[in-house]
Amino acid sequence: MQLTGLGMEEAPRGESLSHEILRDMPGLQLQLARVTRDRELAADILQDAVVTALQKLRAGEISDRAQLDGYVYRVALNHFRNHLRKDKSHVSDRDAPAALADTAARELPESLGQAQWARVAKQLLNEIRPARDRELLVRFYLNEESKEQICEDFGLSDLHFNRVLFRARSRFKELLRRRGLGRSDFWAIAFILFIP
Amino acid sequence: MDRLQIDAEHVIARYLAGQLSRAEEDGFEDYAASHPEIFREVESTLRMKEGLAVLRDRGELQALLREPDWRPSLAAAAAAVFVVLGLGLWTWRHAAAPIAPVLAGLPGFVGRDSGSLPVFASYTLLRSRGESSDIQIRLPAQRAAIQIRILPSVFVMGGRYRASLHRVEADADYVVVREIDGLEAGADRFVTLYLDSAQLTQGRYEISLAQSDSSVPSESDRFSIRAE
Repeated sequence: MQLTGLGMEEAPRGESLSHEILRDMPGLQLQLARVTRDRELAADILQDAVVTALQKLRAGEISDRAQLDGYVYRVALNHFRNHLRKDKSHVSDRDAPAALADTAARELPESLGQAQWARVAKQLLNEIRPARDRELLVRFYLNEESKEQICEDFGLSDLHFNRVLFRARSRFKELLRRRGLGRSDFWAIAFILFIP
Repeated sequence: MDRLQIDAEHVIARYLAGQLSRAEEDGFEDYAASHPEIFREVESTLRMKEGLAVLRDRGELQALLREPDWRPSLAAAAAAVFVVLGLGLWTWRHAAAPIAPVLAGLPGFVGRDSGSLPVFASYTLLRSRGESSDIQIRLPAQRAAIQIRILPSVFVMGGRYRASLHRVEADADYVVVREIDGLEAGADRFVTLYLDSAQLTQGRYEISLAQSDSSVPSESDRFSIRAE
């Protein structure tokens, strides 16, 4: 992992900080890997975002750790969304996203984090009743169908839709926390390590 | 854009899916620039998306989405109702004792008919302020019923509730032991159910209560239990 743009004497500290920052965004890393279908490319994109952020920190354009993490996240998220747009522009039928996902799955071995989140997602789906609400969740979060379309298909009110999603989101976070998967989240790390 | 709007309009998921208008996108990005803590929520949403995507990749998602086949359970419950009605009639004729509705046919829970099993102990569960901790439940040496009274966080007059019992495995996995739907709160607003001690082993469990028409129970209606 190269930290280009930093002086040799700064690189070790930069790398340490880089590790810390990246440790807090595994969801973004893996979703980025999914849309680029290349884990190396995803890692490089994040690394570039970290290097740029560190340079801004050194130049005084970023003043604290929260801003630093936020900047990295924002840049990487933009890359994620750009790749997603590219993906979608090639999609011409409803089955294509699943086909793309299958290709990605073959290329990328499942990581420990993915397995844990899948387990939590499975528990969440097992708890949600009726089946229609489970489908609602999957269509909104995974298939990225619009709220309007889903409500129309199921004949649901806004209120019901919002209630299902709100509860599912809260429960997912709670399950992550219970399994100790939510603690390494953002800003939990002390405010440390500035590049002079 | 503010946090209320972000939550209420599912802005994060829609942002990730590219479903926001240009103005909404700008609004969210402005908010995120000044409130970087919002990326916690973004990360959580991405983890859920990834978890669901992994289930789809493994081919497990469709099975999870399908409605469970309740027919065998319904048949068992119907048979149990007949048995219970028969027992109730017999008891009423011979003992003239009132028999409350029985929730038989659902291992893990027994009915309100304390005549079928002696009630070994009674526990009242209600959420109070402060840190929650495991509630210790002593298991009887002989098979018996353990009465559990739960005060729902939301009381709806005439409303129905669904109780679930999960066993917490060593790897923190939650395994459903049993569920009962259609429970009613009593006049004191408590929902009463009974655990069959024969269905419990030492270890941790979670009892939760939700309104029958809601998908998941609120955090206030989840109780950790340690059976000893």
